[in-house]
Amino acid sequence: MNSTIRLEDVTRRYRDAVALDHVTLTIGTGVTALLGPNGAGKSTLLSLLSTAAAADHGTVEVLGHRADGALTERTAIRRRLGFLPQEVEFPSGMTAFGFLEYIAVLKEWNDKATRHHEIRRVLHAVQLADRPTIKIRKLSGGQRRRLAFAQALIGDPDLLILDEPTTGLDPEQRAVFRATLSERGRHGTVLLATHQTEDVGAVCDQVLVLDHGRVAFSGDVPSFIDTARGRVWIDDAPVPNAIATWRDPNRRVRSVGGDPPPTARPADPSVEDAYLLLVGPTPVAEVAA
Amino acid sequence: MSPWHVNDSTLQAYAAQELATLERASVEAHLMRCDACRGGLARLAPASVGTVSFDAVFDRVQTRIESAPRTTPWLRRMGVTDADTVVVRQIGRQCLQWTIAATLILALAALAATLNVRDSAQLGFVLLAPLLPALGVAATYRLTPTSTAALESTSPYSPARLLLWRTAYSVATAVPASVLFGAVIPGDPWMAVVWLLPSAACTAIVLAAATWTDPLRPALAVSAVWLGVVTSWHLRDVPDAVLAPPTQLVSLAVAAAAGTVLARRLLALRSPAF
Repeated sequence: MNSTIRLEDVTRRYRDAVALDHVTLTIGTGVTALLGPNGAGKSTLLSLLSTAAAADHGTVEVLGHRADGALTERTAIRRRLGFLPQEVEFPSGMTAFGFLEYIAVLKEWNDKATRHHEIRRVLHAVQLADRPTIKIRKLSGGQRRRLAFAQALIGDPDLLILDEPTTGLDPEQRAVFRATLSERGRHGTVLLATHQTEDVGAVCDQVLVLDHGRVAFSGDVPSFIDTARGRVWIDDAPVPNAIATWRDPNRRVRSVGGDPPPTARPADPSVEDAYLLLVGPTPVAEVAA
Repeated sequence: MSPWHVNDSTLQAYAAQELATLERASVEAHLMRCDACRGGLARLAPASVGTVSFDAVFDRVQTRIESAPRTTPWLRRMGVTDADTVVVRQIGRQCLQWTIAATLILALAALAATLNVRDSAQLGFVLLAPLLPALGVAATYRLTPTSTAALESTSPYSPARLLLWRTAYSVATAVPASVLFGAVIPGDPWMAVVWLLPSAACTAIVLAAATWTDPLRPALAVSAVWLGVVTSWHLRDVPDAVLAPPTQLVSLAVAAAAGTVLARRLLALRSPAF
């Protein structure tokens, strides 16, 4: 695999807490989902990759440059990076166009005509083309999230790092977002930190799961789903000792893990099932690929 | 479905918005219940009816934006590039409330000194005026939303350049007001400018330290030290000490030393804080 991101024995601490614990991994072209419970180290990993923070130990290489190196190295990464933080607070009193223009200038789009053209392109991409001069405070939550996504798309970056990008989007907007990500993944690298497991199955090629600062799984989506095969059940009642149960659309009970009675039938697992089994409240087994 | 249909010429006139009000209402009422005529209208004017032409909207928006009066034409005349003008405008928008508040507080200090509400009332002005540019630099960072700061720090835009633009904004908004208010304070006419060297020293210290850490910390430290100095003048009953040559010489030396450190840091461009 042609790796865009390479971490070798990376550790990052916040005082006494270890956010990343001797992490080694590679991420290549395509869309990679970054999963993990809160506090697993996802945001710390994104901070290191986006050059916002430096590792305490180990090597972080992004797009062939050291993310913890000299400013020239970090600048080389930043020129090819699109970053969407988990929550974007917009500067007060700005319009959508004004905000994007500021970010475009930060991304060295110095020529006014080409800068404005690029801003219109990304506004089109997130379906905000008709809202450029509206004050941001008048946009809905979903529109603000799309605007935040638009700033990451400026310059058609080789690496997109997105932290919870679909939060607040309605199903239609999410479909548009998925189409955009799939397109981006064909010729670049997208790292998508999310809790929306349905997005993983829809757009991602690879899955990376962090738990307690360590890599719990790294591999392709089918392999990840296969880790749950034979451990998901359908029955009329919850399976004893299951780590999660809920009713499916046919009003039958779907159980993840547990000790199935003879009446239970195995079900096709999903990304969510595999995730729950891997990092759920009582993991059945540690899986690594 | 109605047996009567709108003819093509009427549909074309409707699409071109050339029908009179009554006739237009009649056509619209028919279109509401006639699929055939709606189809005919869509074929005649696919771009103007039932859909929004985003290209046209954008053309209008672009025209509005690019022809809008800029509030900073003087920056262009000074040779500031269009891109940097965007940055300066953003800083100004972000720090407008700080600028207004700082100016008002300084005005109150100058008013108190002018009215001579206490014997050493001018010390309030001497305390505030040198600190405002340094505190302004810290304010430009603290008033930037955290996530926007994250986008700034992960962009290729030079952090040193951003620091210097923020400093330029703070100096440009604080110094003229301080000179103006200093000029109206009765007493020594040098009071209008005598605070400039201490101010340069305070600002240079904060800038140099900002290449290592959050500018707020050095700004608060410098403020505390300056407060101690001014308080000691008050206690020793030497309110005019800021005018004394030793004060000015020490300020000049500190400003030069901090400026040298800052220049070396900016040239090295190796700061982890950057």
